[in-house]
Parts: sequence; C-alpha cells; structure tokens
Amino acid sequence: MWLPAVGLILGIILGAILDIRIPSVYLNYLSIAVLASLDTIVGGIRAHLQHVYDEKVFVSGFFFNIILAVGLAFLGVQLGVDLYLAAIFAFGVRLFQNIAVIRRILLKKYEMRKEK
Amino acid sequence: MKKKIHFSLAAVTFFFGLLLAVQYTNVQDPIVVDTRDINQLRDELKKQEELQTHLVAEIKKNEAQLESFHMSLDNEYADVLNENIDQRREEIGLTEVKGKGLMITIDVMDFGIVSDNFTPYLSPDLLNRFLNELKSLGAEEICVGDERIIATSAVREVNGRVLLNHTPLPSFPIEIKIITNHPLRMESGLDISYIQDDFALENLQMKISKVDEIITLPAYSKPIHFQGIESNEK
Repeated sequence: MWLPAVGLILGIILGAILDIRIPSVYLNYLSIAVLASLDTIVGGIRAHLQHVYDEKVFVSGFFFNIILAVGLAFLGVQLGVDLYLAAIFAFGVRLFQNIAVIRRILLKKYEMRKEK
Repeated sequence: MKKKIHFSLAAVTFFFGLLLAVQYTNVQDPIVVDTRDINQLRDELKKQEELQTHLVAEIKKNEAQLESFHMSLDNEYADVLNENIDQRREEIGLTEVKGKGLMITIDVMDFGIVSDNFTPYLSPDLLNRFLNELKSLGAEEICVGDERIIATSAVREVNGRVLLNHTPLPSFPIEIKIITNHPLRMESGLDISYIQDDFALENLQMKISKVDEIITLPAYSKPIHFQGIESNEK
C-alpha cells in the first residue's frame, strides 16, 4: 500500500520542483483533469476492494477520463455552453458514490475482523 | 498480482500528484502577462526616471539640511530651525508671497440689456472646478478676492451664500490672483479651456488682465485648526 503513496509524494515534489507554468486561460482544463484523475483513482481503489480490479481498465480509464473531460470542456468553450459543468457534475457524483462504497467495504471488513 | 496493482496505481498517483502540484503552483501565483506596448513602457520609464531624479533631489536637500544641523553650533541651531519653520510657513501659505503670475477677473457677462430678475451667481461647484483647472495648469499659489487658497481651503454654500475659507465671496467682479512659473503657458491653457464655456453657461465671463508681472498675494489670515493634534508645550 505504500507504493502509491510514494508515487503521489514523488509526483507532488517533482511538480513543485519543475515549476511548470500554464497560462491562466488553460487553468480550467487543468483543474478538470485533476478532478478526473482523482475520480479514477478513487474508482480504482473501490474496484480493488471489490475484487473487480482490472489494470487495463484502470490505466486506460485514467487517461481516457482526463482526455474526455478536457475535450468536453474545450468543446464547451468553443460552443459557448458550459459543458465543463457536466464533467464536474459527473465526476463529483461518482467521487461521492465511490467514497461511500469504499467506506462501507472498510466498515464491513473492520466489523468482520472484530468478530474474529 | 498484488504488486502489479500497486505498481500501476503508483504510476497513476504519481501522475496525479504531478497534476496536483502544477495546479497548486499555478493557482497560487498565476502568470500576469505584461501587455504594455513600447509607448506605454517608455512613458512608464520616463515617469520612473522623473520620480528618481525627484527623489535624488529630495535626498540631496535633506542631506544638506542634516549637514547644516550637524555643522551649526548651539546658537546657530535655533537659526536653522527657525529658517526651517519659515520655509514651512511659506509652503503652506501663511506668508505674503510675490511672484510672476496673472490676474483673472470674473465678471457678469455684459449683454447690453438690464434684466431685473437676474442675479449673477458663481456656484461652489464651478469655483471648485475652476480652482482645479488652475492647479492642473500649474498654479503655484492662488488667491480669490482676499482669500488665499491653502491645502485646507474649502468652498461651501451656506444659506445661499458661497463661502471660501468661511468668508463670503466678494461681489462681482471677483479678482483671482495666481502665481505660476509659466504665466504665458497658463494664459494659453485658460484660453482653450472648457471652463470658459462653463462660466458662459452661468452668464459669467473670465478676463485675464495682467500677465507676466510681479503680483502680491496676501497671507492666509485665519488660524488653522487641527483636530486631534496639539502643540507640544514642553
């Protein structure tokens, strides 16, 4: 379980060191990408706990979700419709659902361990 | 199998951390693009250079003063201080000043007809605008009638009378004396100023009578009250 945490910390350190600058116009896309990746990670953890984890689905889902969300936001800007709200809404709802499922599974595991 | 899960998850979390850090740095201090063109930059540079020369002059002046404070003996110390006080009194308008400038007379416009129901009126708003115009044209010292304009001077209307420095304005024609470093420039500035039209709307006209002559402005005669500030009597 420590390896993903190390990855996260390494990523944050690298991002802070590199000091990558993005024009404020594109900052919206980045925030949507962050949301999409957060959703995918939480989804991956849930799938792992439910024993339905598939690596291909997870990794492809991660990048595909980001690209889709950013693409949708871009399309929204071109059309003058706030389509990024759709992405935020979808990811937000799924995030909460996945976290709820994870919480229940962990609670169940905790109770089972207590009974033993 | 389990290790594989952790490895791909680690790769993804790494990427996520990267995104997070980039997002954080960009949100904390976004790039501000400098969109000024060369003329604006040149103006800015000029302004800063002027400010710099001004500051350097100020520093020199203060250093010279400091030097004289140090150099002076005890009895001369008072002289330097008195000189300083005189200078300040002159700056805020408590002394009579003489200098090159112009005299402006504001009078009722002469239509050649005498009307009974017409009272000429110089509104405080118009007078304020006129004083601002004079200041913006480079007036050093201004005096309206016998009232010297200082930093705390106010034009007010009380019960239908226009007060300047708490004194009613004199009746028409009103004389305004101005000391300026560039009397001719000020005269031409007033010639093309919209303030003439504003006067005309109120049936008033402005005449510039003396240009480029030495004129004398009276001192500000009333006591200056500061709220919350008292002199130290020790």
